[in-house]
Formats: sequence, structure tokens, C-alpha cells
Amino acid sequence: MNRVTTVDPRDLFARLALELPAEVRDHVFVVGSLAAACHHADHIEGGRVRTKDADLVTHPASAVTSAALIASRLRSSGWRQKPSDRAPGLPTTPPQELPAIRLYPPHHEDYFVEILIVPEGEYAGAKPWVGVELDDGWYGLPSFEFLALTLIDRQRSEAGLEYAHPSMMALANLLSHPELGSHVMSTPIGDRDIHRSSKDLGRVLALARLEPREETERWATRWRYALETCFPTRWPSLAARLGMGLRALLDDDMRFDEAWHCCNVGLLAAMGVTKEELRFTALQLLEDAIAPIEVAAM
Amino acid sequence: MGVEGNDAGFDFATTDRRIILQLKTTFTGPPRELATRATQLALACRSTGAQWAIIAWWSASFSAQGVRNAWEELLSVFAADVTTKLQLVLVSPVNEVVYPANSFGEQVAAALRTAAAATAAVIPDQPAASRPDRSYEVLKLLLLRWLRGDPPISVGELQFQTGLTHPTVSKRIRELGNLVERTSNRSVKLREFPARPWAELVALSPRVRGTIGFEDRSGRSGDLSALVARIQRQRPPHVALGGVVGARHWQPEFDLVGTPRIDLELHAPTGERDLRFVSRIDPALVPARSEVAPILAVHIVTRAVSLFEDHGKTMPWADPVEILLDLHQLRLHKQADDFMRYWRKR
Repeated sequence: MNRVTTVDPRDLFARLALELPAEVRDHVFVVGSLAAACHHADHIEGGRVRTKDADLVTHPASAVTSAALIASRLRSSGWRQKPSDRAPGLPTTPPQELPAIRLYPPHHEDYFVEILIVPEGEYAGAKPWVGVELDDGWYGLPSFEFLALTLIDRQRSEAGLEYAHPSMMALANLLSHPELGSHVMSTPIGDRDIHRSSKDLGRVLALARLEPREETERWATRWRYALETCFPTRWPSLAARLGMGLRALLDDDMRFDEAWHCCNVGLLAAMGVTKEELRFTALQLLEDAIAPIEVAAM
Repeated sequence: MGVEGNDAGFDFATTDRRIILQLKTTFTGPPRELATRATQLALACRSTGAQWAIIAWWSASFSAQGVRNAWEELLSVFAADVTTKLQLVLVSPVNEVVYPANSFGEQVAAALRTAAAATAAVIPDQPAASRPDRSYEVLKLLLLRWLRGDPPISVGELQFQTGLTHPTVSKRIRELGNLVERTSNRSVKLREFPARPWAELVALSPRVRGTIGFEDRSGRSGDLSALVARIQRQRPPHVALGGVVGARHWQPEFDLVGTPRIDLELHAPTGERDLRFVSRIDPALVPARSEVAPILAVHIVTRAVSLFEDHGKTMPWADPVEILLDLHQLRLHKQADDFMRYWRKR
């Protein structure tokens, strides 16, 4: 199925809901581009999205055991590990060198799931992978500092599978990039090398653009609640830096061009948004949702 | 200030060349270009012997902190005899950096804001916003009182409410001739509707009121009712709702489907137009190009007393005369006539 480059996100959700064992389905939710595409399926080009990767976050939060059980349950149901250049490790293998758990469904390779976990606590910094033992060796569970935010306000698709609310994915992406950084994505996007921050902050702008402005105005309230809930001691400092990355992006035309490119080959492909229009979307988001949070943190 | 060529590293200089100024207008912000600009100006400062060298920069957007950091970094590498003479004045619709801060820099910033608004195209038949003409306030006030059936007003009170001098008020009353009825206690009122002066005011309205039109450059389909709601939530100071929205407030049965444009009256007795509130309402609202119909228009009310209807909790409403002028500017002449008849019958 590698020839298929786009999928209908609603179809993929329906298949996921059907193919995941019921006890797994109730303990995972989808994040990332697939979740965003499902939420906005009516507005994306041809109703299709360029991904075959369903990022599944397990819950309750920080339950490594639960994640391992979910992986084991999927494998016992016939789900197969997606080939990787990393072999399953030993108990002594550093977790970041372990293969991620990426699984194809039992009877096809139309898509695969990757299992992520929400980090424990609210402490700052990059999250190390967590090693878990499956029947053929050790695997790594990736996590991200702000993934806990996606637990808030989860939505349920028509197929019954939960996914992260776009506003929470936007918030997590904003917080992940207080500055633009130099990390370049390992895989080109639309034939261009793209900085990670351009991709993620571009995603924020795409999500904001896909919502009516009255909805993004409500993001400030949602964000405040999510920050206070997930980061009860850190939230003022996080809120204070919320718009830093986006402002830096606006100040750097090359990076903004990358973000615009990502939008135009991704979620906004059908909309023909000009760079100037996307810039105004950024300014509106800053005014409507980000500035109120920053002020609240002062 | 005189104009200099670009090769000089600055654009304007005082006659004695004690102050030089470099003017820059961009859509994207510093700091990328800041180093080049500052270096040019520093060299010009030294070669001309200027005592003060200013970069006056209007940009659609920038990060104030980013600019401050970049500026401080630049100053740290320039020689001390130059750094003490350099000043950055950077203005956007929502932001401002004056570094170092002083009153002269603030004046430059204010001039930049005014120039940015004034050079933008405004209403299709009004290419540039001009300075409002306060002398028409006498006619507007007398007409307002005539519409409302108010008693005569003393010249002193007219002077107080318009903020005009006694000679100007008297001159304007004289110009109205027999249209004005004088009472024994030196008060005045309109005897009848002043058709000719009013027609003149309607014709000159965009210029007299310094109207500035704004278009939405976000590319999103504009929902004016949502924009009105946002304005009412923000309740910008010294601003009242007028136009069709205001007409509906005063006359609930106002005969028009839909809202072609939002009209706001900005009370600015000094005549200085601080339009930053528009960007806070929506950063995508920018002065309209001549070929684009504005979705929002701001009219300047220069009299000393705004005469807005302000109950303190909700957004103030413009008075009926300003609304009449708004309606005529929108070419809603029939609705304007109906609105005036409505007021006379009240």
C-alpha cells in the first residue's frame, strides 16, 4: 500500500475504530495531523490527508504499564511491528536507542499506529523515551513535554474513537517552540527541507485558520484551564512565553515561508491561503488567544 | 527638515544637520534589516557630525522584545560616541518601541502613526484621510438640537461644546444667515432644516470628518455582526458606534437588510488620530486600498464634547447627526431621509 499517499481521515478513523480491540480503543486517543484532519475533514483538500501514521496516546496519563499492555494486546491480536532499522533491545539498551512501537493492523499495511505516552508530572525539559518489555525484547515509548495538554477536551469521532482537540494540539505546539531552533526535519515536506519549529508553528496557524475566528477567541479560556490543570505550578511561566515562538516566526521571513509552505501542502492545501493572509491569521491568534493568556500570567 | 538622497544613509536632515532621520516602511518587521540600517545611519551620523540620528520605522508587525534585544546588541558593537546619538523609533498598528525613550522620540512615533493612517487610501472617492475640519461642528450641533427639538443654545455653550473660539462660532452662525433664529438672551437655534449648508457638509463629509476606511486583509469571509460584537466587547475608549448599526439602535425599524459597513466615531478633540484600537479589534484590518470597499470606517469627532450616548456599560452610540453623515457616505440617502424624519417626529 505504499503507493497510496493520501487517506480520508474519517475512513481511517472508522477503520481504526473497527480494527482496534475494544479494550484498547477505550484507552487510546489520536493526536497529530490525522486528528486535525479528522476534525476538519470537510475543509481539507479532497477530504484527504498525507499520512498513514496514527499517533495513539494511551491514557490514563503516564501509565507505562497500560501502554505495554496495549501493545501486547495489539500484538496478540495479530498486529505486526512495522519494520525498522532498530532491533528490539535488551534491558540494558538506552531507551532512546530502542525501536518505537509502530504496528500494522493484522491484514494490511494501509496505515500503522505508533504508541505514545503522556509524561509523568509537570517537570520541564525534553522527555526521555521509556523502555518497555514486550515478548520479543525491549521497545521505546516516546513522550513529549506538553503532550498532557491533549488529554483535555478530547473529542469523539463519528466512529467512536477519541482524538485530541485542535486547540490543545495548537497549545502544545506553541509551548514546544519558545524559539525557532535549528532542528531540521529528517524527511522533506513537499520537497523542501523544513525546520521542526516551522512545521509545528505552521500547524498552529493551520489549525487557527481552519476555525472560525469566534472559535479561536474561545481558545484563550480553554488554554488557561488546560495550563492550570496540567501545569499547576509552571503555568504562569509557560503562559508568559506562549507567543514567543510565533512572534519570532513572524520576524523571520524565511522561517515563516517554511511554515506557509507546510500549510499549503498540508491542512490548508484546499484553501489557497496567501502568505500575507496567513500572517494576518497569526496576528489575529496573537491578539485573540495568546495575548490574553500572557496578560493573565503577569 | 530637508530631503536627502538614499546614498547619504539618511532621508531627512534639519537645516543645520544636527538631526538626521532615516525613514523606513515595511510589511515584515526588523530585526533582520536592522543591522544594515543602523550601520548606515551610524556612518552618516559620523560623517555629518549630527548630534541625533533617528531610524523612524513603520512596520506592520514586529516583536518589541526581539527588536529591543537586537538594538541593544547592535549598540554594544558601535563606538560610544555614536551609540549615544542613535535612536530607534519603531511603530506598528499595535506596537511601539522608542529607544531610548524621550519626548522627541514619542513625537516621531506619533507622526509615524498619523502618516501611516493618512497615506492609506480611504474611501473610493476620497483618496487620503485629511485633517478633520472642526468649524463644521457648529452646524452639526445646531442640527442635532433641531432634530431633537431642543431649546435654543447660548453662544457661550456652543463655544464650550464645540471647543471653538468665540469669533469662529460667531462667524459660522453668521454664515447660516436667516436659517438661525436668535433669542433675546443671546441664544440661537435653527429656524428650519439648513438644506444648503447640510448638502455642503454631506459632500465634504469624508474630508471634514477625516474618515479612514479599513479593509480586512485576512482573506477570511467577513462576518460584520461578529466584528460588531468584538468591538462591543472591547469597548475601545472614546469610540462610539454609528452608521447602520447606530441607526438601528436609535430607530429599531430602520429599513435596511444587512450591514454594508461598520462606522465608528472617534472622539479626538485635539485632532490627533490614534487608531491603534482598530488593530486591537482585528489586526487584519488595515487602511483600505482605493479599489476596495472598506468594511469599517472611522470618523473623527473633533468637538470638545463628544455628545455620545454613553450609559457606561455598553458601547456608546454616536449622535443622530453623525449617523446621518455616515448613511450619506454609504450612499443610503433614502434611509438617511427616513432617519431624519423619524427624529423630527419623535
